[in-house]
Amino acid sequence: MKPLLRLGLSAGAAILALTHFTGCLGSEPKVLGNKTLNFDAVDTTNDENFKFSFAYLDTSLGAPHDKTVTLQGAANSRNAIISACNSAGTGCVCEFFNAAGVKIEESASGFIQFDTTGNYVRCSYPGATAPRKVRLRNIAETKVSAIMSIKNQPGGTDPITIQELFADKDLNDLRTVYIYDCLFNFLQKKNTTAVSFDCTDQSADPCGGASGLCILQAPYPFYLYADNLTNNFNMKIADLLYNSGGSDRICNTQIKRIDCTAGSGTPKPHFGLYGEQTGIYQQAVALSAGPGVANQTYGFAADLDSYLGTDICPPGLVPYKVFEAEPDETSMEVGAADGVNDNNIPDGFKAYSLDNASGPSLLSLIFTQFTGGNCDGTTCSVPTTNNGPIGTFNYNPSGTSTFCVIPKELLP
Amino acid sequence: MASFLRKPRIGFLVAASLIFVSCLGSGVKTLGTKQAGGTGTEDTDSDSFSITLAYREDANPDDSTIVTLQGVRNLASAKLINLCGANAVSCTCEFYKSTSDTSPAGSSSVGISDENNSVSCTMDIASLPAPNNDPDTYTHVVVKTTDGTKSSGLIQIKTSLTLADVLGDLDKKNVRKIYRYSCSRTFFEGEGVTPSNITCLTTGHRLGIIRANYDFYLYEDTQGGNRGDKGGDTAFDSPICGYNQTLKISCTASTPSLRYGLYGAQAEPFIVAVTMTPAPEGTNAIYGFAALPDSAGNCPTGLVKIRPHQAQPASLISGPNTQGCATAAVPPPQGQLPSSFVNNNSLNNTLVEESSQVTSTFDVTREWNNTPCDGTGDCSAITFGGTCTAQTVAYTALTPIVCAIPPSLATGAF
Repeated sequence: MKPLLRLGLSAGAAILALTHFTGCLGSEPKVLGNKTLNFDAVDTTNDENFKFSFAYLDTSLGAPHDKTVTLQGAANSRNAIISACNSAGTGCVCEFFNAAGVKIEESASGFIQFDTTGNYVRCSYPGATAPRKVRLRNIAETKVSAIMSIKNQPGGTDPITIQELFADKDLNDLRTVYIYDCLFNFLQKKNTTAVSFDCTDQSADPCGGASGLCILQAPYPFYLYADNLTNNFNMKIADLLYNSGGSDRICNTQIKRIDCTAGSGTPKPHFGLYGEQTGIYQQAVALSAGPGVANQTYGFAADLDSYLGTDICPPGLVPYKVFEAEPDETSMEVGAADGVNDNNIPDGFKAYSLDNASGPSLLSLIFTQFTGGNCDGTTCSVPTTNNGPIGTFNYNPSGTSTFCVIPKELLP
Repeated sequence: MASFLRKPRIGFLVAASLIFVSCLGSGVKTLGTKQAGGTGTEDTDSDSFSITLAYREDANPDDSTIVTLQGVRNLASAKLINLCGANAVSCTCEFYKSTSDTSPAGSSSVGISDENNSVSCTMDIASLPAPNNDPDTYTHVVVKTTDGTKSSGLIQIKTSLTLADVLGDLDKKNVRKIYRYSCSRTFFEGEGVTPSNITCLTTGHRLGIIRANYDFYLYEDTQGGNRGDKGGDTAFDSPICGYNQTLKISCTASTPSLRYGLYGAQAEPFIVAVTMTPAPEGTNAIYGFAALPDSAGNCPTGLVKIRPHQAQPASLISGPNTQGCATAAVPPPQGQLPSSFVNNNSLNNTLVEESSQVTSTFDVTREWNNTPCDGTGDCSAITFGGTCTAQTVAYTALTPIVCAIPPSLATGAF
């Protein structure tokens, strides 16, 4: 067999390796921490600073956080809140109201907590019905906040807006992270390996029907970012051809190795990060813009914090984590098993998905087979007939931690 | 085709302290020298708001809920950031139906542009019953500090502006009018075609044509601008296997249209340089300067948001997901021939426009071969079976978002 394409040595393979051989090069999504606390210059204990930007309740969460109301301190309010409530928050109580403004209940002892990093107070309502308004007062009843409507998660009764969530921040610093797919077209043909492919006629041992050459196509997610001032969309390629010896052809035929325009190739808002490392936004999130593109920091996410013994994101944010799927290229052999994969899927070619930690939307990496191609010794025809899924590989949580991001529904 | 040069943001001057005095209450008050109708003088007092006008765009989109309050420019004591703080966290707005209205509507967000010395307030009226949920109902606005100690007094909300309102002290002769036009580019498909060359075959040579329109920008100012750099028609260096009936680039049929205005000098609030290309194979140049949105994402007074929108077409070659022509009239192989339309990102098209003005798609058309080349390598007599749309590509809105002078005002600059 005359190897016409040495993927392992080609520029193309280098691109693949940079993207997905994470065990060696570490290009999987990363969340890197760097803790700091920032206090504003005009943060004082004045009564006038005992103010809150919004109150928030995510009614979609499970117990106990389906009753957790969070009051986000306004800019420069931290010292005033600590002065009124103490640094643990236990010197205050939440008063809950119905929609008509009638007080219905208060938070019980042990069900209030102040987070000094995020400058927010968490408290729980004891009743069965979610209140619509809340205010905070100290136990001595010498300080009391304004009564605020309780905002909810996107899709809730009174959903929070990005302007409310960013009340004391510059919207120019909001980073939208977009997701898009690149379709990888792997070649499937008898005796093909990750590093070799030739133009010989293998129709006697077809990969599908009478077809001696098939394509195994799978969508791999990639990410771009944009804020009001900048973006990295220039790093998204349209497509990339198999390129034997710089001819842009393989076996005299143009075939796309990677296609980032078809299918889900249009970038869609996926979640939001903060453009600066400040306040609760301390976790640097590093992602890849496309095949062969090294990770770069896209922005900063927040940490989970703990309230009533369980983790919860800061108000308005949702938990995300990294999931990964690894195809078993040996399962897509042609004909009888002989130890040769019969395709050029590199070993350990993982796909990474950043998704909602509590309910990921992307569940599996599916390989679709296209048949109808053949080779005659010098030239190959292109497989174009969709033969349906041939391999399904589940996304599973990777080892990285959970972090909190701005939900896509809030993005402008 | 356009790109942006980013200038580091001019830093905010943040007041070191705010004066907390007894609350003045939430009633309507007129303080300082300001008068209803936004006709305040430029007498300023660092302890009060110095507002020259309030503006709400009442068209495109209709019934905008954003009101921009323009502070006195170029006067340190009139800096709104001294009262409102960074990101306007210390200010709020109230909207009144009349000068005697005692139940104003509040604001859901407040933004600030230190470069322009303006504040933008979004009416919080969506949940109010009619007619109070209609922004047209509100005729006056008050901006005040959240502690109630400082207030602008009632300012009448204008719904139309002049170029002078937008530019302030800046000279309107520095406005640059930005125009857009398009050029058609020709590509080939068929046996022997690669992105860089075409081999004239002696057997089975079908030669078809692929076309797409690409957009370019020109500017005009009082010195003339670069409208003379508009692209013309360009032929291929030599006939394509004898075929010479098409142009490589054709621009003459497209008439430039005014899109918006930029400012010809870098002066606040126009601090972001915008670079564009005048013609195919032209050189990028700075066309002018735009403003940045404020901290709430709104443009300074009277300006409109423009942003890049990019279409990224797929390479037209054989394989799965190939985009041919969805018509039975096109004979096989539909889109399964090699072509020179291979997109290594050099075939993307970029528009820098208001998003509301990007209503069309980027289309790639095919004229499929009907009469092939003659078998001797001569394609001079080829004919085509018809034209179809091989790709319809939607534009993706990108960033940066910057603020430009609307065309309705730019057109009257000179």
